[in-house]
Amino acid sequence: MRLSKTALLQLMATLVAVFVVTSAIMTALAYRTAALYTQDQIRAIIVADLGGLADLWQRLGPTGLQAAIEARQQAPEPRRLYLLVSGDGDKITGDFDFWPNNLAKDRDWTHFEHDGEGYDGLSTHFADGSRLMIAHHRSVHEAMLRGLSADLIGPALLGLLAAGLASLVILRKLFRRIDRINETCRAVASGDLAARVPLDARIDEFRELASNVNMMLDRIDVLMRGVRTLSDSLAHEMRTPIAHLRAGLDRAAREIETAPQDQQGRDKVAAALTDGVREADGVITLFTALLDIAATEAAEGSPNNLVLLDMADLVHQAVNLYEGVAEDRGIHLVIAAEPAPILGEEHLLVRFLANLLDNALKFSPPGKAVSITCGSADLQGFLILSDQGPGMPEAFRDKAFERFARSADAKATPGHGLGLSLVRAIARRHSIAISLYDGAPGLRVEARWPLP
Amino acid sequence: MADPELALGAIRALIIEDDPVMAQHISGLLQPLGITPDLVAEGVQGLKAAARGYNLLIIDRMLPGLDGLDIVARLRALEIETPVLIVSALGRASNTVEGLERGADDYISKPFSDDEFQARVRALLRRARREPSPDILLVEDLEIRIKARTVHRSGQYLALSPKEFELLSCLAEHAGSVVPRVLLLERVWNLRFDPQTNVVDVHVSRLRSKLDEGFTTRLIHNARGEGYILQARPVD
Repeated sequence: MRLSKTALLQLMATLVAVFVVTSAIMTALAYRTAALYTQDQIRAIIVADLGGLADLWQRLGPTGLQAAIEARQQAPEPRRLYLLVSGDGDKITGDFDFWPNNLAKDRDWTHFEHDGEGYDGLSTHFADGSRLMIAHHRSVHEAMLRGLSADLIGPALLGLLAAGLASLVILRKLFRRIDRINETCRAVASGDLAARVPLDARIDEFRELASNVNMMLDRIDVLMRGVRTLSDSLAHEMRTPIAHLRAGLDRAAREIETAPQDQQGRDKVAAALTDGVREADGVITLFTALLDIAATEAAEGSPNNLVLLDMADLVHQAVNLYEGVAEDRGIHLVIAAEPAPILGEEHLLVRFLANLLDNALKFSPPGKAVSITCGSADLQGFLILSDQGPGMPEAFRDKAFERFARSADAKATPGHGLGLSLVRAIARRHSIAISLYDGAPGLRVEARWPLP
Repeated sequence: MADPELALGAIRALIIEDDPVMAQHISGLLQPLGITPDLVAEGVQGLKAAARGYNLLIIDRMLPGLDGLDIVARLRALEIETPVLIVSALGRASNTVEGLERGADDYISKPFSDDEFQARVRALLRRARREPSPDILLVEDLEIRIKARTVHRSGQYLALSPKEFELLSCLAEHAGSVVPRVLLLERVWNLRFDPQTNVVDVHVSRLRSKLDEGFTTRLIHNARGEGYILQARPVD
């Protein structure tokens, strides 16, 4: 990335430009004020001088005035310049040889040229017709202003330089920090998923950005790992039923060729084909379960389709479905369902309960009890389901909700290890916090949700 | 196996399905039910054809030209109330609900068992004939009174739980044909998923023991594959 293209540089350039313009305007204003002020000062002195000399003429007459002018000509440079002419226009005394022809009448400032130099002059006249002019050399004023502008522009330029330098230094620093983040992103994009932004010691927005990027990358990493594990396990889990399906079809083909053409032979073929169909259904069940989990997870946080339900009713529905199974296996179902309102999708919540109940019954030994309690307390709805089965190893409890997770003890019981994944997805969909505890003996599942 | 109840007149069905294999398969499943199927493979043509007085429409969801559910919605907007069975690879419960909400009468997800398909078609046609549903169902020596919710076998009262009663009514409606488990789950428990443990089997076996106890003919039988059938067969 070229430095000139960066947004930061543009920002800095804009700031510097604003700084330049404002300081130029301020300098110009200061210059103007100072120029006017010095001019006023010079003029005020000349006006006062002219008044003084006119007084002198009144009191001492032309000779007194002449003496006074000559005395003033002795003052050190830069000094005011004088010209006294007679009524005929002849020079009596002074610094100029002749009266400037464009000089205005009394008490009007006039700019005139003399020997190629510029002057500002003011004149008056006396009763005998003689005229007096006092002027100042413009270069004196201009020299003063030059000094003044040097005083003003110097610091302004210095300030500008300092601002520019500071901007560059800051810019380079920020640019380096942003570039580190960009480098990391590029590295990740080109396949290095482990790349992370090095964090600065200073805590500011850039560090926050960097650590957010890192957090995001960590999360993506976890998700990617999840997806990879899922697709690996999916490929693995699919192999078995598809292998069985294939075997069933092969067997049917073989039976058709070899089995006797009687009822028994036909039955053998039919059985092989039926097995194949069952395995195909197993594959579909697996896919549907995965899709259900994915869709439920995707709906997490969406308020669509949520209606006010009572967990107690849903518990009765699920129990209704499973009580026969429980009775057949000699398991006592102990129900204590108090009202527990929840905003939810009915078919999902029934499935949630059915899966939990299915699990509890699957692992419960005959003669033992499975208990389901629900109700509400402290602004929370709760559901507790406990069995007296072998429980779940503590190490496995964290993983139990992962797809295809099956504990070593559970390998003997049928199932894909997707039931609890769906339970978790449905729980998240309904803001239900679900945890597994050691029921000593057995497993205790606790679900809690905020009351609607 | 032609259903004599259905084969009274020429029943015509339109299959709108772009997959020729599936279309042939469906066609083959309809013929034994006494239904003459026509085939259309494209959505817009399908919609035009569907407006021509069929008794049943079987519509795939993902069609070239026009979505299957759009066809249903347009037909319903035109006040064409021909029964529609949606056949779709989108097989999740929420897809089904969406299909039913947009005017389909029933929904079956691919892949399906032949029995399930035929059971759903039978149920649809029966409902479409708008006969007042009979209050008494008679199957062999079984007498089911729908309103009173009582069951007698050979005049002997049988005490059934509410779910067992619904289970039996559902089987009796399809008497002589296979009713797959998924259909029972849907009609009796209003569930559109198959629980891992075969809860239906347990309920059916309880019902069976109440029904057949002390009789020499058994009424409920496991059907090949995925369902049950209600008909009289002697005890082996």
